[in-house]
Amino acid sequence: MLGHAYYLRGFREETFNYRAVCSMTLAGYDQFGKRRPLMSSPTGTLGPGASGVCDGMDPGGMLPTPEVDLGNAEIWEMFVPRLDLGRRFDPYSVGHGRRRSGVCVPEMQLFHRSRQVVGAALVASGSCHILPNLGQLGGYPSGRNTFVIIQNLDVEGRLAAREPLVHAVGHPAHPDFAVLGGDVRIPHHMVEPFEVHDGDILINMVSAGGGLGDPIDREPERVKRDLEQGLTTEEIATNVYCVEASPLPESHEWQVDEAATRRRREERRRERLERAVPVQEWWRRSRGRLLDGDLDPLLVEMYASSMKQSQRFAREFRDFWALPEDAGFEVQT
Amino acid sequence: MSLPRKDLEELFDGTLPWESIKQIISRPKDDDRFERALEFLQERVAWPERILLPLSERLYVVQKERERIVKCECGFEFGDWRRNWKLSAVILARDDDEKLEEIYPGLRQPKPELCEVREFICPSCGSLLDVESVPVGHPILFDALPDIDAFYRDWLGRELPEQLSFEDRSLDVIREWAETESRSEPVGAAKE
Repeated sequence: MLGHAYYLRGFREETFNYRAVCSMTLAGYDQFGKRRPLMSSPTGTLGPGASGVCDGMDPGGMLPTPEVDLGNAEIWEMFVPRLDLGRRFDPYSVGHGRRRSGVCVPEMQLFHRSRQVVGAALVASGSCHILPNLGQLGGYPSGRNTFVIIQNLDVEGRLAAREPLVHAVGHPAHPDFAVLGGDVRIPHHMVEPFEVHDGDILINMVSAGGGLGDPIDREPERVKRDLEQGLTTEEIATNVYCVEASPLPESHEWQVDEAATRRRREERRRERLERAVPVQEWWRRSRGRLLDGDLDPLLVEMYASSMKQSQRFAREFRDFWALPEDAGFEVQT
Repeated sequence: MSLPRKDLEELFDGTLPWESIKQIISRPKDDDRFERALEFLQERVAWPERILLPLSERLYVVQKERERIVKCECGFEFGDWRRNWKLSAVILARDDDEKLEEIYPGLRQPKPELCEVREFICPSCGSLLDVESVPVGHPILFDALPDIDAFYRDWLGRELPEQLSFEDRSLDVIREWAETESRSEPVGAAKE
């Protein structure tokens, strides 16, 4: 909201966006035999939201935390019993838009020389079922933040056989770690405490801040540059930005087909208008679902709690959905 | 200090080099930014109404006769600025796996039972004007209801010819919609 206020007054360079991050709390003994907390937190590897005049940084970090100044993974391997397996940009971490967010580098760590480490609750935007960040002025929020723990993996055996471990997330629909084997856990919400052993792999697929503006207004030249630098993929360029581009043979360069891009973007506008419905129609349908009680139990609990704690929210909720004065939610216990 | 018009246009267009953007961020702000930006933004639109406030990348609050309305760059008019413009848009609600998958593949996809991604689109030009990501069932967000008279009076030091009362009038639209609805049962508990 504050960023938008700057935008409205013409100070578009000051437009900023919130970006939440998910971490996991761990504690145990490090390689020096010292008992210590081991917060899983990426070091300066997050993609800030887009500004009103340029893309977010690839990648940046939180200013209040000192590790941003120690961006090299190797430094941290001296302090904590974990080895970094990869430091590669993840194009699927981005909030898309005319100005996109920065690109994140996921955290991929192998526990090494640790002892009696226990992992527990996910902290800060720990619910991995929702999108933790927001887009602005037509830009999309970034995708879900996902935490992955791979256990009972024969790391030493793989190393002895010179088989690869995992060094990048890859495509989120068929991630690189899927071929490793082991027991893969993807926790949500508050997790039960669990033991972590040497050889376990922890992957934090962090998500970036939001984009700003309609992605199909992004200059194709910028999408081409992102393709060449590995900051986006052909799939994203085609589906989200509606840019038709192809790699040049024996080169890192890409070529944009401007005429095909224009056609694809016009087609996307028509397609949006065909698929979208007037908001009144959507309101009528959504209101019907509410009246029928067709809502996830978690949301019923959330709305019941919010309406109990805030009369203002309760009034706004009832007014928007044109509900009777005494309408509310009953939580099934 | 005023920014040269060329720099200001390039700043808005996203073509100014980062080194120059950084200088603009670091130094005291130019007092006449709003007025100077309005000059070239007004020249860029194809319609005659005077822009009072640029609202987003394509939306403007404009003076149309004695009304202040939200207008798209393409010319589509969303009505009084005190009513949430989104209520006059068309919406693509990404509320199932298939529609979410188009933007958020695999592990990046939120759970549609909990999270709805709402795209608000201009009914005329098909531009994507805003994207909401909210819990299912949440009221539509009214992103910005600027007090335009106070802004002109207190920040720009000049008053607009006619003062208008300032309050959220979105519920007028909802009441009209509600009149067409016959159902009024209280909200029930969630299904098992």
